[in-house]
Amino acid sequence: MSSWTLAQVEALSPDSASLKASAKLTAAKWSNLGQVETALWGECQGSGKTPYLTRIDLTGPAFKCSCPSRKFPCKHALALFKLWVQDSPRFKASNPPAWLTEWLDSRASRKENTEKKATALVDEVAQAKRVAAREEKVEAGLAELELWLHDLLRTGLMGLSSKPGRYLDDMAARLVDAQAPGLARLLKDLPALMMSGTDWTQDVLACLGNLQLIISAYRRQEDLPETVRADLRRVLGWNDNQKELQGNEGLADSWLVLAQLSSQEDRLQVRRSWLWGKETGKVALILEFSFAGQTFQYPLVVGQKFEMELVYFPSQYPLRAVPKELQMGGKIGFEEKRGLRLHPHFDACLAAYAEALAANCWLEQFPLAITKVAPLMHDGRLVLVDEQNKTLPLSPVFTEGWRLMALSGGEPCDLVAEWDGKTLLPLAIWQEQPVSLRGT
Amino acid sequence: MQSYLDALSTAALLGTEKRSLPDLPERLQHLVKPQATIEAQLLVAGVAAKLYVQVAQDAKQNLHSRRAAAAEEKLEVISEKAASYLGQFIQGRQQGLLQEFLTVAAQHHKRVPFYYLPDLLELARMNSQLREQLRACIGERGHWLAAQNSQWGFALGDDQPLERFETGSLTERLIAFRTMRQTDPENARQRLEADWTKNSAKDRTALLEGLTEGLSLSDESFLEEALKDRSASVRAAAAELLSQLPDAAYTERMKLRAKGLLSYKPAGMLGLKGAGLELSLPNPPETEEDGIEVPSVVKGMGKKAWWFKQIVARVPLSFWPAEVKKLLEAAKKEDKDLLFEAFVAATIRFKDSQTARSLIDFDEKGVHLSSLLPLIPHEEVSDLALALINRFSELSYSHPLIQLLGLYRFDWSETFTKKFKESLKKSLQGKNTWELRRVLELFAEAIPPEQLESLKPLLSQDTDHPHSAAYRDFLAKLELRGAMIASLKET
Repeated sequence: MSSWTLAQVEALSPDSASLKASAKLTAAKWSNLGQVETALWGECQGSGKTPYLTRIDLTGPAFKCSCPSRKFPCKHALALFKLWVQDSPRFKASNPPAWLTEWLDSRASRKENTEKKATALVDEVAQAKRVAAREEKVEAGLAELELWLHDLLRTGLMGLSSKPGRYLDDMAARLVDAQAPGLARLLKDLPALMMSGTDWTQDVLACLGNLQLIISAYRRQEDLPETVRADLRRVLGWNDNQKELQGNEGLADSWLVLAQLSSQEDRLQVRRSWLWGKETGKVALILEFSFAGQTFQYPLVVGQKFEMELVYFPSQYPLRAVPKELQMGGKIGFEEKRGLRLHPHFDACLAAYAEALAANCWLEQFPLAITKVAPLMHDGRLVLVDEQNKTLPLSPVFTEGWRLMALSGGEPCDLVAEWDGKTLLPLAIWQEQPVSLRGT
Repeated sequence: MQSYLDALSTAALLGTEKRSLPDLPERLQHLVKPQATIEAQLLVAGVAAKLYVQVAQDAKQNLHSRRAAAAEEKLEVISEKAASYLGQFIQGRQQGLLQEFLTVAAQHHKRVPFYYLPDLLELARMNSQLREQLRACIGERGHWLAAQNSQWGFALGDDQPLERFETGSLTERLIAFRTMRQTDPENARQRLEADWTKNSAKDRTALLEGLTEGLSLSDESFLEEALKDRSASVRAAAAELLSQLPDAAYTERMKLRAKGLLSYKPAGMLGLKGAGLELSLPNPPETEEDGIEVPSVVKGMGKKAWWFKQIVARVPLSFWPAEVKKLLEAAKKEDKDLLFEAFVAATIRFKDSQTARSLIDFDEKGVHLSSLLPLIPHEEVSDLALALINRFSELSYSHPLIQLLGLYRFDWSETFTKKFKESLKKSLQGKNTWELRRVLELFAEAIPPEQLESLKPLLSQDTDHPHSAAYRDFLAKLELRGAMIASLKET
């Protein structure tokens, strides 16, 4: 029996158009449907004479179809998957056709190859050279940034608004050149902070102060523990080598996907998935990127659990992680919810946040799971009230207030949310099952 | 710490040239190095103090009161499969399919999942055609939700209409009033009369429209009073309502005006002499009469003809000396259009289903079919369907069958099915793919899905026929509707 639900399969769709198109591919269009333990296949009648050969590797899940679509999974794969979830008896357990086994074999050998490649010797000397060159560049960029910062502070922030737009952009561009794109990004937040109201000086000062903090920390790297250095590198905008990380030992557990958030940055789609380990009680963030409508790397769906090892990125407060081998573990059940520690009220959430920030002051989003929060509507705006009758301000980007009202019926409920130090962004409501409040 | 942060901000604002730094609080002393430049000290102290304040904050006390939670549901929720169709239709904004979905869900006494309530209420806010069906299947939760958003007032439950009638907005009052009219029309009207004069003219006009619900002769004296209202729009609305009561004095007055307008001579016994009909056009009154005012400019006809039409449109069809069909046949060619239009208006006003049926046959151009079809008695629908497919054998996107199929479910007789298939086959031989696709789309939303199997063989599926893609989509939509309806029967 399938552990997939329709909603989960639909969540794999690259866009709503594909989903809509897949709905038209009803059972009548399919022939030679078959399944083995870990794979499905079928032939779909398209507009041409030869049917499309569609196959799904359930262990990934991975998809392959002979249609020319560049979407992934294509509408045929989606339709086949949905048909299987809804009506698996149509799929006969039979000998798989050659076009399926060939694909499965090539997948297996490709996997072996990449594993081999990963273990291939890295030229350590060349790598050390590259690192040294990069550090030199960053040092020069930071020295320039510090000069710029001190100049600005000497004459006062009052003058900031009358500076030309180039003033910020030029500095940001130089930081990108100096291989510190993370700092350029921080600098680009300034104009928004300057509009933030009466307290803008405090916000701007804190933002600039953070840059100074990074400069000072970078200069005394040798005195810092390795984990703090890793956090620092990440703020500078250096990417970790995920392949290398995957070689490290991971934390094995049943990982439950409780919440997910996608955002668009130009043509790049970013997806954050928050996972909770059932046995370890650990929290993990899996960050994925996709360009121009490509599918994300991992089939993570809210409400699904995975048996896998996660390797945390080194950090003073480890959150971000990367999966090793992953295996579908079915739907999240109600009993799993009891095993997880939920914060009893908002003040407990804030205390946990303070602790996290003490470990890593560059933390941007902090995940919260909190129990018995009652939603109410006041003048068309959602207010979340905890058991102590206290409330936290909600993120201005949160738009699913009515959905949260509809799902809760005004009763206290368990929520998964992100806290950024200022506002709360609810991501999922957890009744029987976690239900995503975003991404529809 | 906050006051320190304020002092630091002032220093940062004015610049270190003009302002020295405030004394560093003890708690930050290990973070800020005194040997660093003054600007570096200011910056590090600034971010540290800000983080300190940010982390020290507590959740705020809630000042708003909570509304009672939603009541237990009485209806069963639709199946997971049905919910997945619903999600698709909402995402694709497929209004036609949504409307059918909600209708069938309501028929099976099912409710939609909580998750989709906000989407559906928003869609119905923008498209009033979805409202009635939606109201029946949003369950307790939906009514609870709608009560908290003034824009969703149309979906409110019927539990406390009187309260909403007394305190609500105009839209809410009108909905509440209609509900009150459904249960106790007499009492509802008296309630309206009680503070009638306190309402603005706009509200009076709108509320009068609510009287169409449960309209009867006992409303007559109130409406006759309203016919003397100061506001012209109220008078017109009252006249409209009075004219729908065939036994009211208003209609008697119209009959008096109508006397002698038509003089009919039946055909001779031996058929040697055809029947004849003379129209005499009356002079329109100088001032408003019975809520009808002759406009200063009348489009497309003379003022006399216009006044003639107003009168005939307000007289029950049984008043005339012969059946409308005979009258129309006997009318002179130049009178036919005017008379026909007036009869159609009267038929719709008095919901005269018998006359509607004969006017449909008479409507050569089919311009009034859309308003006449809903009046047809159910037992005549399948006959009418056959008549329509015979008359308009070419399928077009304004074909009256589309509306008829949308209005009524009826058994497809063998003859009708055969005729329909012939027409469809002929359409498939046409050239214009775009037009055919549009026609097929509309029919796919109207045809009973159980006809799928019989329609499949009309176009062989593998061919390179230019219309095969459009036809496949047509069949797929039928199949989708069938599957959707089946999914709503499941639990």
